[in-house]
Amino acid sequence: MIENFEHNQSAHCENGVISNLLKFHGVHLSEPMIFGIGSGLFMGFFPFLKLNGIPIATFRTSPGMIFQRATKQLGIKIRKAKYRNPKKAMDALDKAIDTGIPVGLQVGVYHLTYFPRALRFHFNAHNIVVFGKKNGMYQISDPVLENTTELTYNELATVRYSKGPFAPNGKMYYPTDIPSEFDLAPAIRKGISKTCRDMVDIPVRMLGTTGYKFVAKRMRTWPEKLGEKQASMWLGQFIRMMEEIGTGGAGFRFIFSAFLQEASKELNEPWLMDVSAEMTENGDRLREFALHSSRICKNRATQDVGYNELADILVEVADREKEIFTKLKKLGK
Amino acid sequence: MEKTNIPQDDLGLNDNKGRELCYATDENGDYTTGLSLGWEAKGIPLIEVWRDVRDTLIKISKEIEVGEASPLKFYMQYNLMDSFLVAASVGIATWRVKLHLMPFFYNRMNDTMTARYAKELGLTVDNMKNSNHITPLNISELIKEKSGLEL
Repeated sequence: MIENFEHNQSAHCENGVISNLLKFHGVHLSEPMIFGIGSGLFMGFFPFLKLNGIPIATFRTSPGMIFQRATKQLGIKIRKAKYRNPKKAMDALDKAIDTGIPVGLQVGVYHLTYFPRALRFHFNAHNIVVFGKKNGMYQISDPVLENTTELTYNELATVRYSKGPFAPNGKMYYPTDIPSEFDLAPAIRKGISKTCRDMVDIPVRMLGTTGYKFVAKRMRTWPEKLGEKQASMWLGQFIRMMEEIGTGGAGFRFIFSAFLQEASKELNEPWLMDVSAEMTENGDRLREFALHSSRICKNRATQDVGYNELADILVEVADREKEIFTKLKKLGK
Repeated sequence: MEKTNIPQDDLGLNDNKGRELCYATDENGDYTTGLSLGWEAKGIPLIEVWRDVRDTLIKISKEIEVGEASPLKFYMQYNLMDSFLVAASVGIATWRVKLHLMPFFYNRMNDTMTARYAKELGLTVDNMKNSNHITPLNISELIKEKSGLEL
């Protein structure tokens, strides 16, 4: 049992795990800070990648990316390991905890017993921290929960070896080497500049701010092409990707705004506060989008806001975000 | 979003397992965090997904009754899996799982294979072999138990 590990709730699992692990090692960075330095913000729509037969939309970079980028920018060395054999994976975990280090794990959500039942889907890229073993029970700090919890050996072994896309294969990780002094400013600048590149400069229509327009164009044809029922399911999945546990609201836009505020103080660039306010406004617009969409899901075809109006909101958001990230680009130079 | 506007719509989705963290602004426009019980806008689509799961299960149980689908199809849907995921868990090719969704190939399956499926889907071999007990199941109750939702 590692006594001085402090559990802090966060909106998103990956940021939360990094933030909590670093706090244990004496580096106090907030969740939005990690998210920003790790360039977590993104937008993409993949008509050919399907989950339950419905195309995937994403509002963040791919799983593991935030972790990789944030630790690289901060110069933190990480030990990562995957194991073929579950027994070996559990032994390695025990050994690491015995030396007094909290360990981050990638797990699948479906078999997580402490999760709300309605949210247990086959999603394999969830992250938790194990910070000890008491009476044979592993002490778990799941960053999206208010309090710490515990799992038995078998439960933990099952979730570490869930199958399917992004299968964790017993992945575990912990920081090994942390520099004693940080210079945050360049890391923040780099983080923002990478986000700008992801959002504005990728010449693929599905990705970045153009991704919104890409979905918007398709969304207008959904009711005709798919029929009312299926169209509302597709819309439902789109909102779930945007709002489901872990985004902190409006597809990570609020976390990013919080990051911009912190960055503004850290870099001494007051104009970032205004950009943050614009981003918040944008996020509010996306919340409106979600609210209208959910009404369509609930009582199909009896509302004044239809798919066309929803698509218009997305186009508006796209234009605004393009403006925001073109402004932010100045920071990188 | 302002902190006072953080939604607190309890749709029964959080299963009494606590609240989630949201980012919102305070009266000065500075960011802070608050806890939310849930939000109607994201709860509704999730409830729709569970309704869809229930309806599909009812449809499959009818197909099983007339011999158009195998019990595997029912258990696969009940576990929210697709054939790719089942294949990955059991460790066989996806096309074999797709064959086993048809009663003809399902009934020809040997005991070892049945046992492997049963292990991954959390069933007994007897349950897997005997399709008669699927049709009398109360599917609404099953899904209520599984999701913790009143649909």
